[in-house]
Amino acid sequence: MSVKDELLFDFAVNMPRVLVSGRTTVLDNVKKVMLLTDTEITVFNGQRFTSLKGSGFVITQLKDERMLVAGKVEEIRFFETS
Amino acid sequence: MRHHRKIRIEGTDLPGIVNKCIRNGILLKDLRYKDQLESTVEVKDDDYRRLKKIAGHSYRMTTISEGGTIPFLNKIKSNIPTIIGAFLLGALIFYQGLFIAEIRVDGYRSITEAEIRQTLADAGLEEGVRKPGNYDNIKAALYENHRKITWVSIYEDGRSIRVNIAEAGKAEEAKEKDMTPAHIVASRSGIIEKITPLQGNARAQKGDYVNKGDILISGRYKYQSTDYSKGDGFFYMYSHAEGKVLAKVPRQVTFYMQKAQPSEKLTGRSIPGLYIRIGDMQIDTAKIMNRYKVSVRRETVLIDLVRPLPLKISFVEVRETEAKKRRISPEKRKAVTEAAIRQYKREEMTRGEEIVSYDIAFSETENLIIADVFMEVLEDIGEERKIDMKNEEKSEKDR
Repeated sequence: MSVKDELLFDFAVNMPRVLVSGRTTVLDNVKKVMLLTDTEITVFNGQRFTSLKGSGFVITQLKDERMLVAGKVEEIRFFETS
Repeated sequence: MRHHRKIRIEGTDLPGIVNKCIRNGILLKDLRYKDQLESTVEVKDDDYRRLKKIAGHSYRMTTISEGGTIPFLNKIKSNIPTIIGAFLLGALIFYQGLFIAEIRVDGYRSITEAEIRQTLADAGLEEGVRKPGNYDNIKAALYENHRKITWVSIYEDGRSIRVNIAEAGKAEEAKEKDMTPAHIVASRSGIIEKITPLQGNARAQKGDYVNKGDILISGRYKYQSTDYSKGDGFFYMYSHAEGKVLAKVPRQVTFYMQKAQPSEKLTGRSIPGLYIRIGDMQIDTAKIMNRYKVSVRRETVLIDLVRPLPLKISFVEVRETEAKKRRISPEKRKAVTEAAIRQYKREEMTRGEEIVSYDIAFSETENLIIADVFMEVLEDIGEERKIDMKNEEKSEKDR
């Protein structure tokens, strides 16, 4: 990845950024929570939306636009309003 | 460790309150969705107050539990009797751990356990007393009182004390057979009771009176040679005589005793009291109240515990007595003399020696009774004496 791409990636504060590792998911740039259940979480990132589908979701921490989610993830979807 | 709360949030719009928290910088932890109307979350105590303010009347919040230092201290404050009880229990357990509950003795063979325990008790080590910590003086007492003990180990095992000892073995070295020509002679005068020659010829028999130095078993043999060239003369062969010679030996021993012996007579007056001992502390009311010059103490044990704490409660009675002197009766003086003879046998006579008979003659001085005891003691009087072969042959020729 070029330096320009890296800078764009780091400073894209209104875009979805998701890190998934085992049963832990990190959602960055969380501006607003749209939907919150134990099977589905949808958040607004500023320009787009991120949606997690799965089971047994627990938000272990929510601070400074970063959401840590524990639970089994089956599907991640990104979408935007037309 | 900071003060935090686990709260239940009841309301229709969970994402709404979460978004308010994001906007106000309130940290949320362990957010669990239960159903459409209810969720649980963990927040700091400071944040909880802000959260209540921003939530308004749209949500209902209930504290499920609290954590951190302050709630812990508050919990302790509200449970002071329980804490004091736990502390006292801990103190009791610690205090009882300072005392000996049991003593185990291992490794003894010829010495009895009772003897070892008596020595330990005399040295201050017994059930119910405080652990001494240093056992050097107890080890020294064991070594001193029991010569057979070669090694002692004393260590604490919880509230028990383990005493391990090792005794000297009976490793008798094989005696090298002595072939030096020798007679068995009488070490003292006496009447022969039994003579058992293992090697050599017996020169005395049962009932003979022998003087000190008389040959009892001879190590010299007289023989005639079958070699014709040596002629018809007698020759002598020498050996190392061996055997056992038991003889009745007279002994005289004198014992002394006082004519009058002190005795105590009860006056009928007494002081009742209670003796209580808990651990190291003890109270004896009878001892405090006692004003008699001479008294005897009678104790009836009501409670005597070692576990969980050394505790002894006794009923005590101190009885006043009068000291008097009573002249010793003939029966008593005979009994005292016989006891002295038994003690003499125990202390002065070696194994194998036996008193066959004795006769007591009493005489008196101003204050004393003198008991002269004439004994017949059965003992081994045989002792080895080397043979001077040159002198023996010369004396034989001179005859």
